[in-house]
Amino acid sequence: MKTYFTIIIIAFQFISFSQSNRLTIKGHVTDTLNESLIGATIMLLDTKDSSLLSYARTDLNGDFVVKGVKKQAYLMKITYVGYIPYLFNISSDAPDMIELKEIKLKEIAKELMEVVIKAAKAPMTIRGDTIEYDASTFKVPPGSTVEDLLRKLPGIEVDQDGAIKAEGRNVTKVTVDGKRFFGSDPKAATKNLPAEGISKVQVFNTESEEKKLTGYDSKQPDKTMNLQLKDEYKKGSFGKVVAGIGTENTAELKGNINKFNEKEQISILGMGNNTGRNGLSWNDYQDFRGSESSNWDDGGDFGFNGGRRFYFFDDDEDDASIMPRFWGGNNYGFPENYSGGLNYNYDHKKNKFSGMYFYDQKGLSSLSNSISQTFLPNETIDNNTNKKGNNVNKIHKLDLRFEKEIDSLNTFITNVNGIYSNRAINNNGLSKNIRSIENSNVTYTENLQNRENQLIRANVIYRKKFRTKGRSLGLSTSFYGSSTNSDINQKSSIEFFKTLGTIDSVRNIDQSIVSNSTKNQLNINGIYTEPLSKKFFWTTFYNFSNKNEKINRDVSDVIQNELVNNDSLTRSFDNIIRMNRLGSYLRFANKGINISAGLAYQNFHLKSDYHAGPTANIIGNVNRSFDVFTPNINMSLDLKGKYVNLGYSADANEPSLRNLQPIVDNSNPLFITVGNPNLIPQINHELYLSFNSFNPATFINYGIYSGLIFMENQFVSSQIVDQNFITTSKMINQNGGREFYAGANFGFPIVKNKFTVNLNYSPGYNRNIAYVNDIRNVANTLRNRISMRINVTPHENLSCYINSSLSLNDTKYNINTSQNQQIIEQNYSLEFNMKLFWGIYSNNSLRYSISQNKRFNFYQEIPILNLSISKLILKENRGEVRLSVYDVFNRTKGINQFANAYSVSTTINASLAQYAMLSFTYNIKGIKATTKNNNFWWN
Amino acid sequence: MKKLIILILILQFNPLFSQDSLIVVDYDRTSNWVKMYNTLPYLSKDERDRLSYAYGKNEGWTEKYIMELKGNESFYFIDENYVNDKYQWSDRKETYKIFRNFTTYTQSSLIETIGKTYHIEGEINPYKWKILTEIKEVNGYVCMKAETKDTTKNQTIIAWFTDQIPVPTGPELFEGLPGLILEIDINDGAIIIEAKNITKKSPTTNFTIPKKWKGKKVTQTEYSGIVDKYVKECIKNNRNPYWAIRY
Repeated sequence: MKTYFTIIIIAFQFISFSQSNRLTIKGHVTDTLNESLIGATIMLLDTKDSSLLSYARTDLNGDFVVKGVKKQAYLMKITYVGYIPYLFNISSDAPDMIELKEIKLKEIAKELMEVVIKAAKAPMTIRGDTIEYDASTFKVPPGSTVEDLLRKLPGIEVDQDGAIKAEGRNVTKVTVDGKRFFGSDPKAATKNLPAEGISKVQVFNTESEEKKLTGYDSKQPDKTMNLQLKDEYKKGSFGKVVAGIGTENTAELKGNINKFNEKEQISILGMGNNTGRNGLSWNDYQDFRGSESSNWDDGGDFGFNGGRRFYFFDDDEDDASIMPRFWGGNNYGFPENYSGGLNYNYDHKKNKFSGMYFYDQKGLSSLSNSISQTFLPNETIDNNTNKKGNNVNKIHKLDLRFEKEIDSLNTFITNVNGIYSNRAINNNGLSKNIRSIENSNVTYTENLQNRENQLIRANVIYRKKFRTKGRSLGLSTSFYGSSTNSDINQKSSIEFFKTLGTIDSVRNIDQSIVSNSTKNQLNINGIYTEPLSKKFFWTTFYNFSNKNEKINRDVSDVIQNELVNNDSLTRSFDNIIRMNRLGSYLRFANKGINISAGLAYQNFHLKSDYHAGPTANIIGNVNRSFDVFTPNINMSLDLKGKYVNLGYSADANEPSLRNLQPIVDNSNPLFITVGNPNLIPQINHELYLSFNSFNPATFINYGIYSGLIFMENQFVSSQIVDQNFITTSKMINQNGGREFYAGANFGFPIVKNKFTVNLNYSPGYNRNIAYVNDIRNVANTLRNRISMRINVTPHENLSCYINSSLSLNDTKYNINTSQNQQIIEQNYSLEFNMKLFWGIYSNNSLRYSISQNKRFNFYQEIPILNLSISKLILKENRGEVRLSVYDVFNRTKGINQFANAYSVSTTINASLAQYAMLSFTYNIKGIKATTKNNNFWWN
Repeated sequence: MKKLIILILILQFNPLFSQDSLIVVDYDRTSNWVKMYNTLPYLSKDERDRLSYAYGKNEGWTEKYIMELKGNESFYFIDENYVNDKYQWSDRKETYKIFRNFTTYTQSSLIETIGKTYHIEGEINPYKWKILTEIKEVNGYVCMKAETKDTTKNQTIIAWFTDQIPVPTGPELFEGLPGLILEIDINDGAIIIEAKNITKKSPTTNFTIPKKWKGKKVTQTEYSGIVDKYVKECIKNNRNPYWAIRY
């Protein structure tokens, strides 16, 4: 007995000492009808932040046990699908074992559960006795009030007068974002606020005075409804303006403002400057076009992996895109540029619409001097030309785009563009040509041009995906119409010298050329892809285009202030250009390996009827048809961080009608062109290969690229220069033209993210052919370019970017080796950004370029130093003041060096050089100053 | 005896207890990179606004993943055969296989990140979850909401889990809730991983685990350390870390 007693006492002691810090909880879970709930979840949560600390499940009998958890305060939550969660507080000084025998879960009303199942988002939150609705999932027509929205919420009733009841109880108080809205009448908010502004509707028991005092409500409480308004960020606006004024009469102004909401975006943009700098950039393009900035003018030109555009534009005025106007400053001359526009985007569910109007005016005053040499078989012609020009180009552009997603398989897009442009050119020139002391001429020219062009383009694209995965169809058609009128006045006076200082003869030309042309073009394209298996796809495409053009060029001579028709130079053309292309290719795509191989057949048909003025007996036609086969192979491999791309493609270019028409064009008496009706298309065969690797851990990257182009039937000019300096030029086909290009780059950090080096080497080789005086000239040019870029960014307040490049172009001529040229260009630049005291930032750049041509004894060293300091001002850094000095040493010149198969030239352009400018920027959203160049696209 | 047979039959057809069959869940992982860029601290407000304005309306990029569940084990991996048929271009899928056993609480995973493949072996590092009060339906199952935070990547992660599939696992490395996670939402839509299809295979089907596992052996703690270190370094140097690691 004593042993038993001892054991019991010891056992009791054990029990009393295991007032341990461990807890066990047992229980039985049922519904309100006492049916056991199997598989209910029991969770122990932290009372402060609801962190999950432990969990268990009820077994087949509805029983559960949570063993050995740390003793502390818990919130126990028991859940089962379709029932309101059961909450129970466990205090930190609870006994070691807790048994909960009667846990009864209450069912959630069936209609509320139905809403949970049917809506896509979470419409309902149950917090103790509060039920919260996500208002955005209940659709009401636009313009509805909150009262209309409440009528749709389950569990809520709204009567005739707008009195609200929730779960059978009266809603006596309505607040907005927790605050009272216009007094105590709940209908003030519900009848006046718009449903679109509400994000959540919360309903909870109104705490009566009695409950506040005693903690107990003797009667069933009334309900309070709280309406939460939507976040501001879905709507908004932003904008900025930059204005600057400087010495040398320079001024800059640029601004934009945008307003947007969930469906619409509107932006207005304006810019004007006479510096050619700080114009519109890629950032401004994105701010202006918004969600349309990633639409690259889809023309529906289906072809080999992207296709080639089939618009036969002769003039680049007809380029419909506005993107080029958004970047590039002027490299030379004295510019004056203005542009502005309005853009509207609508994007909601399945419909997208965008409308844009843009006006762009570019003016340029230029002054240039160039020296050149033309190589004839036995002699050389030296030329020295001075030119002065003034051009103003104005363009109005209107773009409309509509895209509709008919359903998940069908999309429809239509684009309409209109352009009106006006170009005025005024050029004067003085040119000296010297062949030998006994043979030279001096030419004065004056050229006035006014050109007006109207263009309209419309296209429709339809894309269809079939139910079979991988099968798709695309159809597109486009129409293009344009009309151009131009008025040219050409005056030139040529003085021929046979002995030094004495004029031998003079030739004067005073002509007026009035041309008008109308063009219209129709394109039809189709593409179809069939999946042959999970990895193989077969695509076939067809392109058709038909262009009609009527061109009239009336040439008149000005004789004693009267216009006299020059019938031999006047021309009329009626042209039809038709192209058909049928192509097909097979693709393999699997696990990062993509290979495609295909062939296309192309047929060109060129027809032209032409005649000169009524009295000249020049009339004729061209009717040619060409067939070409163009193969295309491409292989692209993704080998775990290393990318390889290689392939072969053939591209065909048909001869232009101008070069085919067998007529003599001597509108410029010193340079006569003759057509060649026997021309056939030029085909370029290109083989290419590239390899890239980037290691994201070490930031070491390297790559090479290389290509080889063989030109078959290349268009080359054959020129004959006679005793009197008159050059007659004709286009012929030649084989033998080649081009090789390659590049290798290697980038690595010396100190990660603080000091990185990038090295680049690109060699190239060109073989150019031309015929001069019936002798074949071959110029072989070997290019070598090496460059190095060093980024030094040791500190937040200091960064330094150093660039240097050396390029050597070595041209050797087979006919006249004494003409061999070496053109050397060296460029060194240092960009230095620093944060000084008082929040002042300093941005500076020094560019040093050296251009050389030893044959011409040409050597120019140009250092360009730009300095600027800036400071952020105003509340929230909304403003910036900046003082800049451009070209401190006053040495800007636009230099251009050029060499081809039979001539070499160097041109120097006068440009806006040294000036100082004070500018002010204001940005509604604030400006962030930094010393670094943030290129986050590839960083 | 008859009662026992009936009971066994009932158990067989009871969805909660067919733990011997292989359950296959197909997940879609959609990334919205405009929202991802918006969480990078070094971008200015101007740059953030411009991103949302120009690209906010673009579709997200979707990848497909598969989860296989049997008993108390799960195997989550990328669907290597998925070709995005809008572009008909096959890109190489990075290695991503996560196998976990919740009885022994260990894992064996193969994850490719920062240009290297890591073989994670050993204990599972548990997540700390907060249980919230919302409920919604995902693919036929009523789910509860839970939340956790990743302080290095500055992410708030919402998980919707169903206790009707009582395996404490989920997509990627997420685990630790009293039921299967059917949806993950990182930073309010920057990444959404959603279960699209839940099917049951016969009890005789096994996990499709490949035989060879090649990678640098690390524990989960070491792996998290490597990822954290890289993210901190990139943010400090104004680089976007998510070109080399997953968000």
